[in-house]
Amino acid sequence: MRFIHTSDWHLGKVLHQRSLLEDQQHALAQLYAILKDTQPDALLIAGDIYDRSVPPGDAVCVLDDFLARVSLDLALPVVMIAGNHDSAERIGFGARLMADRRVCIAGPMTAELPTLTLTDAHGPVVFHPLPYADPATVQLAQPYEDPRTHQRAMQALVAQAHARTPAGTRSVCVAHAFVQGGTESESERPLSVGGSGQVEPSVFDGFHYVALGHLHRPQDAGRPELRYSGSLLKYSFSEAEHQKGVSLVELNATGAATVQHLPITPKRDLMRVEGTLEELLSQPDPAAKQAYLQVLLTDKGALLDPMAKLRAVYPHVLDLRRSAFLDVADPSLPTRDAVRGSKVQLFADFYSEVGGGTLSDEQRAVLAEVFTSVQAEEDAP
Amino acid sequence: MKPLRLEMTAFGPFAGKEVVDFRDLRGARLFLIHGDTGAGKSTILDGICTALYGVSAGGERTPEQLRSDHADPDTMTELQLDFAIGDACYRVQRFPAQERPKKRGEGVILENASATLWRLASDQPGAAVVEVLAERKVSTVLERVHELIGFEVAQFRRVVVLPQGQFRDLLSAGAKEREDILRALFDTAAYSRAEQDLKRRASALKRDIDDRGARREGLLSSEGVVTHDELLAKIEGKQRAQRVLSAEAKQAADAAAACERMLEQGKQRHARFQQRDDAEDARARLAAEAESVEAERQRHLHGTEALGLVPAYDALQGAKKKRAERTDKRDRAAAEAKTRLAEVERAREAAGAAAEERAKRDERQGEYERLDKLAGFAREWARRVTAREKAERGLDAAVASKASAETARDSAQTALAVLDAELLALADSPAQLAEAEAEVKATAARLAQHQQAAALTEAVRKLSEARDRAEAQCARAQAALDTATVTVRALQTAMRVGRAAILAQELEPGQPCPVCGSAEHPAPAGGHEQLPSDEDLAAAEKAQGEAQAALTTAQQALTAAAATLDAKRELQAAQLAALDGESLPAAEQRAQHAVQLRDTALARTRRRAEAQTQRAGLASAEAEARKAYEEARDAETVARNQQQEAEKEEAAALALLGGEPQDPEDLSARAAALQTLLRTAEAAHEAAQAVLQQAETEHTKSTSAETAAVDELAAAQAEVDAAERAWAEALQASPFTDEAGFTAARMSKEALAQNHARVRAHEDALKEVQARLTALDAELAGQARPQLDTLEAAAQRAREDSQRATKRQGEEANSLERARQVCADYEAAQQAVAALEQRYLLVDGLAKVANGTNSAKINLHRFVLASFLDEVLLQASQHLAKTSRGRYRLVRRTTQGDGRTAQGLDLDIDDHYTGEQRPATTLSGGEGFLAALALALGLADVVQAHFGGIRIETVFVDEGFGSLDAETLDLAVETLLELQQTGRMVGVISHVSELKERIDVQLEVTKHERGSRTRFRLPGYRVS
Repeated sequence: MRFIHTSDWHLGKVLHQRSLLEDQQHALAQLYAILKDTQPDALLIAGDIYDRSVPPGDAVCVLDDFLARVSLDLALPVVMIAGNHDSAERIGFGARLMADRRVCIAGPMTAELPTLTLTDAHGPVVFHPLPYADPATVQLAQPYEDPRTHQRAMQALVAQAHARTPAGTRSVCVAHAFVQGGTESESERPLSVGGSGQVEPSVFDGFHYVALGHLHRPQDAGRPELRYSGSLLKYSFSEAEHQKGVSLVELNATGAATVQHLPITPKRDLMRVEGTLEELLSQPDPAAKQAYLQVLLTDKGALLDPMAKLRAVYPHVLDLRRSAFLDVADPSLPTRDAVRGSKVQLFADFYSEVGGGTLSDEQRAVLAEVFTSVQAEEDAP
Repeated sequence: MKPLRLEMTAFGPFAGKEVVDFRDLRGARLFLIHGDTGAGKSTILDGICTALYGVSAGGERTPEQLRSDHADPDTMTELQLDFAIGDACYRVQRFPAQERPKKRGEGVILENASATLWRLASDQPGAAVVEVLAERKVSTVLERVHELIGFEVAQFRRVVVLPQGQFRDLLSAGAKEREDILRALFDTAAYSRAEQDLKRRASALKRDIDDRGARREGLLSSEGVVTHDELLAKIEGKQRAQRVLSAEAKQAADAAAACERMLEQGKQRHARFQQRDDAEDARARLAAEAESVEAERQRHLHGTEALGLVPAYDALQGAKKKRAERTDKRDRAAAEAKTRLAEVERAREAAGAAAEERAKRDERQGEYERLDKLAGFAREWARRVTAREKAERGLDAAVASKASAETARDSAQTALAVLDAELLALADSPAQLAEAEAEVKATAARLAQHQQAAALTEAVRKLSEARDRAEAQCARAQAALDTATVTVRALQTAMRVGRAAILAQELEPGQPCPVCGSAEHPAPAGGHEQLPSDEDLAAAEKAQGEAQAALTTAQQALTAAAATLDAKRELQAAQLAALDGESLPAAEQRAQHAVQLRDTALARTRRRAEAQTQRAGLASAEAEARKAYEEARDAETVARNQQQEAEKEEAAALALLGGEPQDPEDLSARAAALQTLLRTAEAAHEAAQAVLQQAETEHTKSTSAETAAVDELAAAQAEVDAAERAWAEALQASPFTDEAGFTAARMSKEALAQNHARVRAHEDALKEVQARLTALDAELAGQARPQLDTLEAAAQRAREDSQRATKRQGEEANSLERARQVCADYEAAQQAVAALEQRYLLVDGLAKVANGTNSAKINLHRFVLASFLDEVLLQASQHLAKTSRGRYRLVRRTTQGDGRTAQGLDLDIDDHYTGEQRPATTLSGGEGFLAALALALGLADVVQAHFGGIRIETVFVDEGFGSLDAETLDLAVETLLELQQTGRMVGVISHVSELKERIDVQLEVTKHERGSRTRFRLPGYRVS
């Protein structure tokens, strides 16, 4: 049994006010080509199909187009789940209608999730799509014991999945979660405030392969069968070094999985460059000229209209940073409590600021008197 | 400040009581308030703000305007907020000023705003009130709220509640407005006051300096100079003058002294001369006295001699005196004895008289007893007289009562008789009544019959009408039937014809006819066009049938009506017969008459009954009257007897008195008088006896005293004789010839001594004067008597000169002193002013700098504000850097302005993309929102850092997210999520649906017919 595992498409994403839909279409075209060539038995999409719960119309069209071509032209079974960026209900639209064509979509969390069973030479393989839902929503559909954490919710879902898998059958899980030990990028939306969103790798024990989505870097989460395929494209500048692509997974008769990463080249790459304005303008990197750029200027002094100048050379500069300002580390609030106590000192600062020099002792004495009498006036009702 | 529970009654769109319990969030910190437009989302913020401060969050709606329109007029608008500050929990309850219907009467009354503040025991629901912190008065509650929360409402609205459309205020406000906002937030009033204080001090110092300057001028002009040097010169001059004058004065003084000395000497010498004159006079005087002194000496001699005779003389005198005394005594005793004797005589006489009187005793006693007895009789007689009179009165009364009883009896009897007569007359009334009743009934029945008859007539009329109608109906039905029959026949005919025509149509020559079989058809039937169908015929037949039925029915009806009519007619006839021709009015009249008769009978019967009752009463009254009469008669008899008895007794008593009525009082009085007389006589007698006894004793005593006195006198006489003899001897022995000489020469011892002394003194004085005279003569030999007047005059003149000179000198000295003083004052003042001037320079310098006269043209207050603003912007820029992806920073414009008032507080945006600063107002809507949000958060951070006691545990953001694109919205939401992690509660009001997806803890506000409702929705929980 061979299948392609992909995830985190974020169709319709806008990065620094630039829509990436075209690039996404380009990538999907490549994916289509891969599917056509490798001819797998199934396509698994592990969530975050869209970037927002109500995606732009053209993004929906893109997905519709792709799925139509994959299912109608290639007659390929698809397993798709909703991720934390998606609106589960909207993703799940038409799921029952599409089930006949072996497009298994799991969107809203229900008491019994759909499954897809495919058979190969060695027997059936059951695919369990577990859509993303927050623990409270899972509790409503499939009650489990407290505490309401992602870990417990996932345990419950996994338990149900295993229960519905006939013994001895190979099973594959498609899930959208943050497994401990994985590396985040900037572009993942946190699953919960305060870090209770992670699950342990052990929760997925029992599946022969777990197709994970959510983290954008292609990586294993503890063992090779527990895998993030990574996002389709680079969606933040922290991912500039990632190799984006999809995973081709083969399950043998016993369910052992072998994984191969198939790269996808973007229409326009995402890069980060650094240097002084002078350098960058005078010696442009050709690759950078074409790419979406984040520029870090190391100049110390003031610059006049750097963005315009850079855009003249690098038309796709998206983000501009100044290292000088970044160096201003977290300024703790200067405790002016000292000042609160000494208005005289504040006056001294003021005095020197406006060019009066330093205060003499007599001057300080006078000021102390003044402030005391002002304070007395204030206090006297 | 963290809200725990908000309760709003009749507030905004919440008509009734609406409770928002933030504890239902169960620890979730970021929540979304969403709902339709106008549902009441912002009202929740208004509710919190108004409950605390009495002012709405946006400030556009006053609390009075926020009263719900849907609310009952009886429901008061009320706000109650439970909130926590750190660990302490409080509750504030507020009633804004509102109108409410009067409890009594019509109309409304304006209820003033009131508020109360409590401290609660804990933050759990249903926590108990611990103490009242401020009660009723809105201003006190406001003060306490300020203290607790640390903000005033203006600051609250910038930092905790970011009201719709207004968070940009701080960003887009002019610098002046921003200054006001910041000043309120950071309470920097002390600095502006310090500025003013410095200014005041500087000007006060200046004034002081000027005053002193003026005074210095005054000092100088008081000395008539203008400058200090002139003054010094003046002093110099005065000093010189002073020296000259003092020399002169000295001279004059010396001269005066010399004159004085001369005068002194002169006086002394003059005195000496005077003394001598005195001595001379003295001696002359003494000489004159010499003669008298000699006489004195003689007398002294005689006196000494006389002294020796004194004892004998004195003895004689003494004896004579004694004798005289004794004579007196004897005379007195004799007189006494005589008096006593006379007394005795008198007493004897008196005693005799008393005894005589006493002898009359027995006679008197007898008289007394007789009188006494007589008096007793008289009293008895008087008593009996009274009794008789009483009996007579009784008799009169009895007679009178008998007479009245008789009268009463008579009248009762009369009345009774009358009543009886009446009763008799009325005896037949019951029977009469019965008759009358019967008659009434009869006539009534008759009347009823008449009425029935009338009714029947009416009924007959109606029925006949009905019958007529039924007849007509019959006729109509018949007509209808005829028509229907005709129709049917016509149709049948037509059909027949038509059928035939149809058949005729299908006839083909040579073919047999279906009817007759003929092959020839010479005259086929026509008129096949209008062939009625079978249905038509059926219908017509049906109609015919119906018409027939209708006719039958109508006929039946007619028969019935006729029958009814006949029956009724029979009844009517019977009725009329019963009445046998009597008319209704006559019957009515009869009935009325019968009623009248009956009423009369009724009245009579009643009267009879009444009379019977009365009679009964009267009968008993009459019996009583008779009895009373009997009794009265008996009483009269008794009384008469009594009276006669009494008369008898009276006569008896009078006989005792001897037939003469006498006054018992008079008799007793006389008896008493006699009694008294008796007693008095007895007493007098005894007294007289006693007096006599006494007088006799006295008489005896006095006689013996007289005898004694005579003896004593004799003794004294003997003494006198002896003393006379002694005196005669002594007199002879002396140089005196007779007693007169002796008496003349006699002098007391003291007089003698004085005499001697006087003589001696005179002698001494004379000697002394003599000596003095001699000495003075010796001294004054050859000297002339001085002329004191001239000397006096000279000395006087010299003194005057000296005085004048001294005075001049003194004056000059004073003047010099004054001038010196003025000089000293002037110099002191000079120094003081110098010190003041230094201080003034110092203070003025500071004041000027503080008030903006400096190179930066910024005053202290604004500098402080600017430094606060810098801090705020630093914090804000951090937030903004995140949401603008590092592009923007907020900075304060520091370039110099053109010296106009508000300086240094303008906000700029530092755009990294262009490397330039531009005013913050140039940001787009969405960017502006982010900047404003960042600014508010920065403000909150700084305020919290500086005013440590203030904890900003909650932030509410009202709208603004709609202006953000999706990506920026993401960033904004992330900022808000981060805020949560600082522990703050963040409430967001927005209608943006994306936020509904992202933020799953929601407070839903929905509109209903009668106001709005709120409900918390938590994922996995249902909370209402």
